Amino acid sequence: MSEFPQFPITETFEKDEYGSYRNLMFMLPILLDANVIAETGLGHGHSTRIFLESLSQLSKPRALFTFEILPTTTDEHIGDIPTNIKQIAENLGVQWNLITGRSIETVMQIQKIWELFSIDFLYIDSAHEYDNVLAELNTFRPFLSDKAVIMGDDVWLPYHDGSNVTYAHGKNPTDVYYAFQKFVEGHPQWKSFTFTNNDGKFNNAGKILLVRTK
Amino acid sequence: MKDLLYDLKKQTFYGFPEYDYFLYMLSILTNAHTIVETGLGRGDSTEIFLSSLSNLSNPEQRHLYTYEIVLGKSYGVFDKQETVDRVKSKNYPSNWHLINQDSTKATYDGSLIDILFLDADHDYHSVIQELQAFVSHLNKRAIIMSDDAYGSNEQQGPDKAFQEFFKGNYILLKGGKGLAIKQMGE
Repeated sequence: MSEFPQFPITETFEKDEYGSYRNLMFMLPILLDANVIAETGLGHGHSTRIFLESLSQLSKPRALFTFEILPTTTDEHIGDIPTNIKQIAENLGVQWNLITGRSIETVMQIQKIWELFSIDFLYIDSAHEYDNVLAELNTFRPFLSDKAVIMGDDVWLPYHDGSNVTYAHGKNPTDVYYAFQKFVEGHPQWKSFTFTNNDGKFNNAGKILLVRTK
Repeated sequence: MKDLLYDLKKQTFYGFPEYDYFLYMLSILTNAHTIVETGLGRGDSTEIFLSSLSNLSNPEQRHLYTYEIVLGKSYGVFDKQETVDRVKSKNYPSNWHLINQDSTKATYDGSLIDILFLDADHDYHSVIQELQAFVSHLNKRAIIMSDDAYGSNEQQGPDKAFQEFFKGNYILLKGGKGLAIKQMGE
């Protein structure tokens, strides 16, 4: 039996309101039999850890590419995040590649890789401004495999009051949401599914998933 | 009860009870044609599966089978017949088959099952009997799940049953109430 999560991170992360997202993020690469995952934004490394655990469940060697603009980031609980993640990746036997710099530039700089290994799962979670999210979607799209799925974070902010979140766009839907919708307008083969917790109980920021349904 | 509301046009869920998102997308991502669930409860998963099947192509060719003895109340609170009436009133374009039968003694005669969701009695023996009843009807890459698989002693029945039935080869998602999950062909 395999348990998930193997690596509790913080008390907040363990709360139930994130449970379904985490479970889906963990199971998606397994269901897709994903060889390569790409994510933009390292943040505190939450999603990175989930994807590493997920890829470790699969039989042959898999790889996770994390695109992060900052050369180093720290967390009060785990210290230097890249160092911590690298250790976890090694323990799990998963290849982790941290690509620093602007994602829409660095992904092009290593495009030779994508000629050999297309991306099966793309997770968008770097700067949440409309232009950046849309640019990431359009820049990464050519490198996606036929079975690829795209997920975006922070598409909905239940408690947003318009004053303290730079990526909010109008009311609850964020710029991330509108960027994804714009992308789908130009690529109608993708169908979007947006999930939020809008009952005011949790400040759960919501996820969006793009799937090419059969 | 918090009804699950959804906007079919935008595919935006507003209620988001635990696991609903997960169950919904599992159905979409596996392009499920046939789903079997045991236990009606409040009808939450029933509606999740019906709405997800309805958002795949040719929903009229997709089926959800729900095994439940429609008598009395779920959790001692929710009138089962009212739940059935509510679900039916939604007129989902996919097919719903309510099987008035004990799921541990199920006699299934539908197409091969893509997703089997066990959510009736969660004790070890019931889950084992359900697995035995449906295992020969599973698609080669079918997904089998059991709810309430992690936490208190009462929630360890499904975990123990999966441990034995699948010889330890399954995943236990520990978030929330816990979900034991197995994909066939692994």
